Amino acid sequence: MIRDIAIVGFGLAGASAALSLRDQGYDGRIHLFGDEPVPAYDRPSLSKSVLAGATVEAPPLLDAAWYADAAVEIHAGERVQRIEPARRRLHLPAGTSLTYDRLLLATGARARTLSLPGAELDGVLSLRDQADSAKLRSRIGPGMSLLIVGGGLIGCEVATTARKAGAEVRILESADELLLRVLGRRLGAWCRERLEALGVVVQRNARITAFEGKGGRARAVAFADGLRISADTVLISIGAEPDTALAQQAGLACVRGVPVDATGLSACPELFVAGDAACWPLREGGQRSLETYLNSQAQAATAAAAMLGRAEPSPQVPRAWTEIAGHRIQTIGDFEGPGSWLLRGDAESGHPLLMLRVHGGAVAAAMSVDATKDFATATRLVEAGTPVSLPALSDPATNLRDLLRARPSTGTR
Amino acid sequence: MAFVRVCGRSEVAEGEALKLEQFAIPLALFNVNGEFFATQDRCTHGEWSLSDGYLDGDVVECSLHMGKFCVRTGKVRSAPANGALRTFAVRVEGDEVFVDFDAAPAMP
Repeated sequence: MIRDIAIVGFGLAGASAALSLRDQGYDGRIHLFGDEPVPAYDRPSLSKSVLAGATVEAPPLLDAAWYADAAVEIHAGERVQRIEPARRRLHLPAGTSLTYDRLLLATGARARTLSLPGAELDGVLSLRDQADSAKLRSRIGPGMSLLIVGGGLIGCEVATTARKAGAEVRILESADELLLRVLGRRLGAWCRERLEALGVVVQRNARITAFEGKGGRARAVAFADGLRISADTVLISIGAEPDTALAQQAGLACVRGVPVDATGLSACPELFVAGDAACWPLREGGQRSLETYLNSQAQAATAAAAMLGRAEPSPQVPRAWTEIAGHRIQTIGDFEGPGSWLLRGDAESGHPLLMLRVHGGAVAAAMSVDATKDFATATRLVEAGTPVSLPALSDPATNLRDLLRARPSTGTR
Repeated sequence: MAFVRVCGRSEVAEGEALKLEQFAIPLALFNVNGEFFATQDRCTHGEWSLSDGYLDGDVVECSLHMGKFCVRTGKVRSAPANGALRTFAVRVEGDEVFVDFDAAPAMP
């Protein structure tokens, strides 16, 4: 009989798991622990509307009333010290402990740091939580300058927001193009051009060696070739690292995430992991931490069911969205992978555009720029593994929804 | 009760949605297997049009961040959506669709 479920981590995965447990009729106790002092909120807003000041605080994921009605025991701001899996016990700060029947680790990820001289200076920031966003927001007005180290999703989203707020913005990217890992070269270059049109300066192949300051405050960034660029504020946005400290201390071997099966079960019985902290199996093979909203949500629901003994393996297809230079970009599946890409939409202007990677007679991945409606259909083609023909897909006259309707899923990919 | 004609029945195919912007509250009109439902068009999560979403049965998925709502009740079916949608009473007479902006639909 499962009567005590502990969830460590009160972000999207933690809150979604609590919601799923109640939705599935579990009426035992739910103990929800989080490092941050507030209930789970909409983290993607931190680089967009919250950073822009459109809303003061990130919207909560669930109403406060829901937690009360669902009798979820919230321990926000209470950091779990360690786990003893053999005794199914959590150790808490005040020397107290809690015995669980099932444990879900949903500890998320932390911003990756850069070990360069001066990284500790005031004004060298990262962006992961609400406090980070508030600090950055106070530094991106007109007349202020922001150097962004790392031209990935967060770097490009912040560049958009900061530029629109009137700041001078420069992105320093170590690769020869922005967004290569997530969007590939074509879309990466397209986004760079859009950012440049907004007035963002993009410096590629940048080799920075140090942050320089005066009186403890950041003043400049130094490059390998001896050049310097002054800046009041530096944002380090070079990716995230899954937070596996508790899992490792509990004896689980971790490599960028806690390895789990497609139900979220780790190598420890009774211990499940979901969200960014999980190194989760993918439908196209392999496994990794996905660091995306929709996958965290799906993993949490899967792990919640598995904790209740209703395991339904759910290998993931990565899904993400971003908003860069005013454009809505959405992806499903990996950019890298077998098959060939075909384009639908306005290839000349670059939007609206839908790119589809077709492999083995089905759509394996899709990327969209401002083609949200078609993308919604494309995600269903990917998820269902609907058989498609290249000529039909390539024909601009084809309504994608007709493909979905006409060729029911075989469900056997 | 003041029903206003919003469109012709044939303007919204089954499984599709129509955006009606000419009113004080922009509407999304959904055709769920021949039954019509009207909600506010703007998603309560992001600034996006729900008539651009993907309708599956009586659930619409916002095409921006994939929050889901029941178009029948306006209730949230999946985060990131949080707040419920406003819904409006719909009446179909012949080939015409009418919406009452002052009234929520009658609940079964």
